[in-house]
Amino acid sequence: MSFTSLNFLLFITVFSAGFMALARTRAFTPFLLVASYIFYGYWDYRFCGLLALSTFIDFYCGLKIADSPDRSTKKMYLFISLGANLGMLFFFKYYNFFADSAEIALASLGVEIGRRTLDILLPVGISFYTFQNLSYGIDLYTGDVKEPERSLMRYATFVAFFPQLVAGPIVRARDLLPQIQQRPREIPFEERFAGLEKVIWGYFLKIGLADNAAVVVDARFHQPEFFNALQHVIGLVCFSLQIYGDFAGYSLIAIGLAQIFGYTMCENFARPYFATGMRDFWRRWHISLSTWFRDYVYVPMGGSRTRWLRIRNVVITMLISGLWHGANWTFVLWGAMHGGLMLVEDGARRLAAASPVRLSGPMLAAGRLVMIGLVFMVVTLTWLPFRADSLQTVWTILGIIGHGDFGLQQGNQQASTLIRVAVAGLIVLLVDALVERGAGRRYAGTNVVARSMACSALILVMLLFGSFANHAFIYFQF
Amino acid sequence: MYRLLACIALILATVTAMDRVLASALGDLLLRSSDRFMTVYRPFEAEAQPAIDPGANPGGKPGIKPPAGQEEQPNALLVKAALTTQPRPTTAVKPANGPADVLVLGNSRADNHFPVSALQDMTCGRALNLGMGGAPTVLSALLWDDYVERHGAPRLLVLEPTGLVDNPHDLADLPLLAYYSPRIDAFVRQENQELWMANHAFNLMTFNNNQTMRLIAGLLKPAADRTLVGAIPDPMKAQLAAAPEETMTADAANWQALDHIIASAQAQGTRVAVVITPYFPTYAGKLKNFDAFFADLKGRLPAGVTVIDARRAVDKDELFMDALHVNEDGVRAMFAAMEPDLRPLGSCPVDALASLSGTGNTTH
Repeated sequence: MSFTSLNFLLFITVFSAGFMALARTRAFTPFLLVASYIFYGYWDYRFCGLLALSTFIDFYCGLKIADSPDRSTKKMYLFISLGANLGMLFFFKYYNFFADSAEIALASLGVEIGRRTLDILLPVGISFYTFQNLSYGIDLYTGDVKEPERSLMRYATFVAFFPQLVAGPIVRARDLLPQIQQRPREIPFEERFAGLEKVIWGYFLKIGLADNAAVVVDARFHQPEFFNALQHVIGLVCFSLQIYGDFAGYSLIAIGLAQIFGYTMCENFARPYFATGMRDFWRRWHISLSTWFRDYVYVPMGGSRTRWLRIRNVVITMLISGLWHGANWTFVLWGAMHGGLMLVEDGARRLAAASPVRLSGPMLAAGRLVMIGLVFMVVTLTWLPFRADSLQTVWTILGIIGHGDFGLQQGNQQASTLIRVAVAGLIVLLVDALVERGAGRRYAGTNVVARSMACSALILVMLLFGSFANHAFIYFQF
Repeated sequence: MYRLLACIALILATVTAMDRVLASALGDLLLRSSDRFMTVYRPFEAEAQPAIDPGANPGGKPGIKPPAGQEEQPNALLVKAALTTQPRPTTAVKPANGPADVLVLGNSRADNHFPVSALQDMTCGRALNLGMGGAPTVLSALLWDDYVERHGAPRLLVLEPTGLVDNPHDLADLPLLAYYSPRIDAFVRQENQELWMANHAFNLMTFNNNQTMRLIAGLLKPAADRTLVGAIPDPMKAQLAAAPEETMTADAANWQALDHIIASAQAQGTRVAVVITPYFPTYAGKLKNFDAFFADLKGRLPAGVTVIDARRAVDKDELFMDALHVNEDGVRAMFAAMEPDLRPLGSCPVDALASLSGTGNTTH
């Protein structure tokens, strides 16, 4: 079920009551497991079977990897785990894409193979829990996780842990499994309250910012021909805000909920639109995924030991990252653009390092602002293929922007929606800027009553400006 | 955990209390907006309006006093309390003592096609356009009843009837007005229980819509005519040309609402003009029963209703904004075509009419 549905409100109320009654008992882990499967199965009960199968395979392989006396047997079970996980992911997410692409490629060579695609339902969150399972097997093999989990129930609870099951953050076994093993820890009230604040801020990002921006964006991508260059530029900026609000909002709700119940999860977003470069952007955007790719793809391929390895590995990693997001050439293009931009930045850094000019003081601050603006613009442009449903749409919109009609059309029916986006966007910008400047720690020391009032104010703004049309979270499709 | 629950209770209590206070203040504030819909719910101050010479009004009812209670309107801040009382009974005949001599009802085609300034020029009376984007005729009937209940009947009602084909369950921008109208509140409850409950749980959500933005804009500057500017883009023309054929169908609830508006207006001595505004020719060609539908409509109208059929009064592509709306120039062309039929329905002095050549209107 979605965090923004009324069903979830009912679910979390019942779960909280169960948590308060059972948290200190042996019944809590089974309760958490059942609750997580109910949460996940609410979309489609059939998804639970795949989740259970994936869980069982990795649990079994994990035990075998840990207990096998020799390296070759360990490796065999690691490959079984990798094969099973990637096989499932390929079948459910990529089969149709590759079959379709092959069909088109062969047709262009004059070879007709007929329709080979299948009518497959993509299980929600499969990319997330597959990567979580993969990291468990690999960490056991490399020794980053010393001991396997020997309780199937605890391992299944780790995989299905409901706050992060569907759209992350992708939590590693070494971080979350010990917390599942020990049951929820007793945490100070301030920490729980901070969790509540994260949840409320997450909802604001989703309902206040992302879902309002979605109205503007959807209209433009549905019928791009009906909008001029200015409207498409506005649409792209709105999509930048939408995807940030949507995904960072989901992550914050997940992290905040876990924190309220005594679990700690890693930060997933760190004000990415304040990044001063592409490297910096990827240190701030979807942190759990970018560190996953760094640790399990980029570094094992040789990382940046040489300049050529760096170029090769950045390109491969970003292309895989693009493909991870979706089975479409648009995502591949998005990954390629990011890979290219990172390499361009590498070159610029080398040039800057060789330059005798050194900025300092106000010039440095101004330079940082310029870079923030530049990175935002570039990242916004890369969101075009990410949002478009086909390369044809990408070219259409680029053509319209290139045409250069930046006239302001009167009678714009979306003016009031744009005002909502602007209001929510300014609040988010202000809060993020304050946190970026270190105000978060000072705020954490503020009286709880005052912080409760701030939360109330945020909810009131949401009531007045939020979009309650219940748009699905974007990352559910991945 | 209990301390956290106490904090959640504190937050909820604060939100609920502030919601009531802010919604009430916002409701009262928006009532002062120059937006046309607020004119319905704001007490009318007759002395602030330009005087109309009853003798120059062929359709007027000179000498009739305002309805009982009209002189004792509450001030703006008390109006909401006043509106929660039982609806006032309407008398059989009422003069145009409210804010409008000419009232326009319909969907966006009424909203965008009847600029108040043009109507005032043509009818020599104060005009109020209550056309609402996406509004089916059912909603127009609610607005009509609210208007008449508060201000009495206008002298002329201009009804753009194509809201008949809109979904009668679509609420369009109506929910905000539920804050001011028990009638509309009851309708919202009937049509969308979930929305009604949300709006009553948190009153601020009643103001969470595009209409609020327009009302706020109306606080800052006088409301302007809502005529559209721009021309239909080529891709839209191509899409319309390639679109499949459609059939115009009207729900029974919309027909009943139309009958109700006309019967109510005629019972109160209001002239009724049903004005069918232009369609983009390509789109009209895609409507299989385009002529049959409007022939049926004309056949259903009771005697005494003036029908101005301006569907084909505008035919150049550049005069349209989209398939259903003409632009500024299109409106000008439409009014020029309608003038012989529309002007005689207004309050203009007889010598102003003398220059017109022929009327050509159809009266049932």
